[in-house]
Amino acid sequence: MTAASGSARGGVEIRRLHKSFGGVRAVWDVSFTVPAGKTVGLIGPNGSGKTTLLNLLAGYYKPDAGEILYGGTDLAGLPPERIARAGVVRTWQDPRIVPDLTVAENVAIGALARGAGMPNDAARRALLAESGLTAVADTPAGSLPYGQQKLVAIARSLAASPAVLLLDEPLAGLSAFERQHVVALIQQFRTTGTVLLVDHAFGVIAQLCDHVVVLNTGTKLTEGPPGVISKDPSVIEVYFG
Amino acid sequence: MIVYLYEVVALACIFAIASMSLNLVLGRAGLFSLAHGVLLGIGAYIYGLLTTQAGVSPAVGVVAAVVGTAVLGAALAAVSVHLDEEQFAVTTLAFNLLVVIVLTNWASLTRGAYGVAQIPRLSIGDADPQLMLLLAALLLAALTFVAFRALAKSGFGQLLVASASDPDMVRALGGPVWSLRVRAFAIGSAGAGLAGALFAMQAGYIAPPLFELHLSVLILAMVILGGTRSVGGAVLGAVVLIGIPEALRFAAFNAVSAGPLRQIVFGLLIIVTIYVRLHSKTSRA
Amino acid sequence: MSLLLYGLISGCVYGLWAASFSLIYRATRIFHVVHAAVFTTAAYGYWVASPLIGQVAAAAFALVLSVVLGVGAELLLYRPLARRGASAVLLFVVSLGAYIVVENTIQLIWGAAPRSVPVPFDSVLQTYVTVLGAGVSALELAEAGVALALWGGLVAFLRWTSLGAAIRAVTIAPELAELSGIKVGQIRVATFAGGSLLIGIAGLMMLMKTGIEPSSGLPVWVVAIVATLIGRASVVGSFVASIGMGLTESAMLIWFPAAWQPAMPVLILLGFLVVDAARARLVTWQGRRLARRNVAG
Repeated sequence: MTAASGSARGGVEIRRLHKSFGGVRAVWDVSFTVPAGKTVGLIGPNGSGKTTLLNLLAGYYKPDAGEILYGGTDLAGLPPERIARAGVVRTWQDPRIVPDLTVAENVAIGALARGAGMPNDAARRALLAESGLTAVADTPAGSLPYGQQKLVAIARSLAASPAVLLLDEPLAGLSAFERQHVVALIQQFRTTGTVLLVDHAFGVIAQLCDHVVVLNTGTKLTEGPPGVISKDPSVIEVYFG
Repeated sequence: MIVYLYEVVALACIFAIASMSLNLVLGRAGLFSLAHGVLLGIGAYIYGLLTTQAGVSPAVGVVAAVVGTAVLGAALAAVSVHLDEEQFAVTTLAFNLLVVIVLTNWASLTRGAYGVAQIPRLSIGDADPQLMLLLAALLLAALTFVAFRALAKSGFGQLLVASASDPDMVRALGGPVWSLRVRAFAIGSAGAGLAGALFAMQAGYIAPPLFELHLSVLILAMVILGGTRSVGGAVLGAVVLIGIPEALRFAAFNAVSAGPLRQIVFGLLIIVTIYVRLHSKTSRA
Repeated sequence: MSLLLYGLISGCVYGLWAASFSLIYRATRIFHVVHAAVFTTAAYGYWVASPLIGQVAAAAFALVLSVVLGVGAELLLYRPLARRGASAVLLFVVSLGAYIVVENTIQLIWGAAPRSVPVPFDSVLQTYVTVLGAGVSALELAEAGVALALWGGLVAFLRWTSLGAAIRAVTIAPELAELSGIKVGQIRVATFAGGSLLIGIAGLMMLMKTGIEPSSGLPVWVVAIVATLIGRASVVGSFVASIGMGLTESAMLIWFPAAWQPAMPVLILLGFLVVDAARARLVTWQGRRLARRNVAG
């Protein structure tokens, strides 16, 4: 039943995904499900394949084998814009804002890119307020500090009104205050949407996620509820051993 | 004297249309095109050939020049906008050379090196045709200005800027970067086609050498001189670069040396402008 | 058969153009349009100097002029602008501007008319020989031979000398080369000097064979860049691509009049890009750094 709910609208089911780069197995035979409306954490040490997996899901890489089932279709190998228009939108570790455009214009790109047209004033203001960016709405995004740029990037992907959000280390490099804003945005989105959250910080994962998947050297080590994972000796070993 | 002034102002308007349209392609979409001069040439030839050989009315000729040039521009863009910047620039340069070769050699269609003569102008009743052309050029330049400014500020314009700066990011949000760029290039080509039709009317006679690479470089210089970010800057660049050689013409240069000398001035202007802009940028940072 | 021979001969000459350009392009990634001006400058230098100082001294003068112009472009244009953060495409446009200045300066001084010189060693080079059943002039054969020999020399130089090894290192991994003590700036200058020397020789060859005019350089540059892009910027690959282009051009002569000949490299480039475009649509885009930011006021 859990597998079936995974490929229902809003859920993603990853089946036996493989990707190698010149003989190096970056992702090897990984399967798990991000059920609709749930938040799943993806953790693992550096080089464990987290970012590669995200790039596969977002269409940035084409998988060597495997399926990415979403709403009854296989997303594997589709170009990024098709995947985004289907409702699966990603962020990057790096904010990747457009420095010359203002904060409000940057956020609007999310809606414009998926062909939804210019967002109306009320919707735009609401999103900026939620992200704590109202005061800097008309500032060129390039002049903001890193943490605020990251908020802009998350607000931009929310403006694309995704069903599934793929977040790549959204909290890395942020101050405690900025973290609160990002956590609040994620929690707000969780109430209606599905999230796959990649991060190092286990505390945040435990706070936000219903379920955690652990990757190590490109393969799935284990998965389970955060409370179980945090006590799993094999996880502790790859992290601290 | 007054007729001469009409001519210069009309020419400035025509090149302002060309440089505003390149401004969209370069300043917004980030596409470094070296084909804009020859796209203008294509517009001029479509207008010139249709009105002189096919008996089409000037108004219909203008529309055909705009649409035809946009279609050809879109075809060029379709195969080249995915390239990196320098390769795109080389491809458009190659396109420029190719079209000039075709215009020169496909004599049965284009009249080859003889060129197209006695190209008619728009006329209403028995108004002074040069004055009519001036008014038409002024009006169309103003319309182009309004249209391209609106386009630059629109969501489409913002999306172009974003996909010039980070195409992968725009694609990951669902933006069809390839088609955005092709559309931008087609719109820019339409502007070049309009400028070309007016240019053919103004000149009355067109031939392939007019549209060699130097014309693309001239329009590029106008855009760079005016600053790639503003549509008004493109107009300013056109006015300055049409004005300088006209002023030089009154200085004691004979007709033979005016051509190469003009080119040398443009070449130096491009180098100096880029140098100064980079200099002011690094000293600000 | 004769078309095959003509194709091979022009392919060798194109190969020299391409090799000289790709030597510079590989190490610097600059679309060095001034290269086209170096080609014409060498020819005009020889044409002006040979009645005054004799053929040998004039040839030496022309080649020194080539190297000065090529190295000057690097030291006075590319290096200072790159230091200020100019993107590759801006350097390309600056180079185009400089090319226009040189071409038109030549035209301003000596006019647009084609110039030619008497063929040296005319008792030998102006004879016709029959090869593979086709008549060609000894001059053409000699030029193809010289081009082939220079190209072979360049390949050997890159492979077996320490300077050649340093150039290859800079081409493959500039940062690493810098760290291992190679003076990247000097190596770049060396490639400009070498490439300019080779294209200068090519300029003299064209002057002797067909004559030259101020605008002769740009078509040469287009052939060189097309061969370089198709040959994946390698000195060997671009030579092979050049031979292919020479043969294609010959084959085109069967269907098209000779006036269409300059269209050949452009058509090949566009054809290559269409094929490449179809493939690239599937591959992820390279992040394009934006020149607009650098020019923007």
